[in-house]
Amino acid sequence: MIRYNIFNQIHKGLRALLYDTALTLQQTNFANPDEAELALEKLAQTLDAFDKHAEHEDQGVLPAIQQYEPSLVDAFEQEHIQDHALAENLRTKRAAFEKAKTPAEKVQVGHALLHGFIAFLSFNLDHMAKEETVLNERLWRYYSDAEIIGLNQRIVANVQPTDMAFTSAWMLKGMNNAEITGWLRAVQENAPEQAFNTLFTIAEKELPYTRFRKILEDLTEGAMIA
Amino acid sequence: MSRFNIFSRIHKALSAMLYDTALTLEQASFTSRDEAEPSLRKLLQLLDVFNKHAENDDNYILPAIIYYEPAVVDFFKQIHAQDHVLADQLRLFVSEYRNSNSTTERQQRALDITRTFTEFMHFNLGQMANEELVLNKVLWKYYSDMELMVINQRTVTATPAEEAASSTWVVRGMSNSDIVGLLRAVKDNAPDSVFNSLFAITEKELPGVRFQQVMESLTSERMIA
Repeated sequence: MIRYNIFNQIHKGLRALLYDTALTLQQTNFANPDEAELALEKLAQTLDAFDKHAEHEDQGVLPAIQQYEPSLVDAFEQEHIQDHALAENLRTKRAAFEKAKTPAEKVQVGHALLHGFIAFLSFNLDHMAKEETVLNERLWRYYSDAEIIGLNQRIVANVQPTDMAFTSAWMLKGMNNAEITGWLRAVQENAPEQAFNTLFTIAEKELPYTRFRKILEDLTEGAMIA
Repeated sequence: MSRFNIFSRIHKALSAMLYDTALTLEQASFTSRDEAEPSLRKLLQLLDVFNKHAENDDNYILPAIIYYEPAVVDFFKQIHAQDHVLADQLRLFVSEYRNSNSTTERQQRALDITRTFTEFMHFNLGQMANEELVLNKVLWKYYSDMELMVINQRTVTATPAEEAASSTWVVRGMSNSDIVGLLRAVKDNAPDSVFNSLFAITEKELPGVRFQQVMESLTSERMIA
């Protein structure tokens, strides 16, 4: 039986964000101020999203297994500290970029930023994979799917609306059509109409036309939309 | 002084390809074989490209330093062998997925594919970073930039089909200024047909705004009439 994966949706969003940011950084000529500004803004957003995600896990997921597996919780908290250090290293490099005077210096710091970000991306791919195998296995051992879904709902309830719009857009970009249809249906059935309308608008904006059409067809097939 | 990075262009292309394939796999619905097939084909194509890249490193880059740093060469050959094992594991999972008879089996193989691909990606990003850090240092110690460009040219000339195929990803992975530099170098040193082909790929692959910027940089140098 396939169990509920509490990390699936958010990790897909975060990975999509990582890939997009990495591609932007390698496509950026850091000697060009306009290009650099766009890339650095995207980098800052990505680092913030990962910081907040680690906080949610520290406060929402890890306490759920603390009483059963304290050393495992400690190991994951340590990884979050390492992750934070990698992010801080990138923020330091960003500050160095602001101080760089010549185009050659800016290109050099930009190169260091790209490589620092690849290390960050690589670390997080590995970290998220561990969460999906090791942490999920523990959650499944001690909790039912209904209880894990409840845990997820408590985490989501504490996310700020602006953060929710940002992560929802990236989750939609990372998820497959069936997952998106399922998500829209669940929101339609369990959340206020306004929440569904917001998510639907984000989906329409973020997804390529053909994918959005396919999702719309699947939704209307279930007579969800008039 | 900034030295010639023999890996920069191809590593940007390979990274772009990794990110694109990873996103395609995330977006694939593996419960349906038909829906999954395009993403599996993309994955297999990527594995072939990475194999060929490792072969090029083994055939053209590593021999350039074997005389000076045999232990470094041995280390990187071991890494390539490990990479090959991961790629073969992925091919096996793809084949098992294609031959699976039940939804449960497909879901399990899909998990195997996505998890192993993440491992492959993690491994290769680390490996490419290592090459740029360790191999570049060794190459810069023993060769001039001019000599490194010759080695690079030899790789390009020896594998024209791979080069042509990777041009798309090279363009997708590079910055505007990298692309302008590449177009100028090709214009100056290669036959017209090669330049025209690269120019057509650039026009096709870049978003309109970026292509316009590249064109402006090129015309400002009177490269294009």
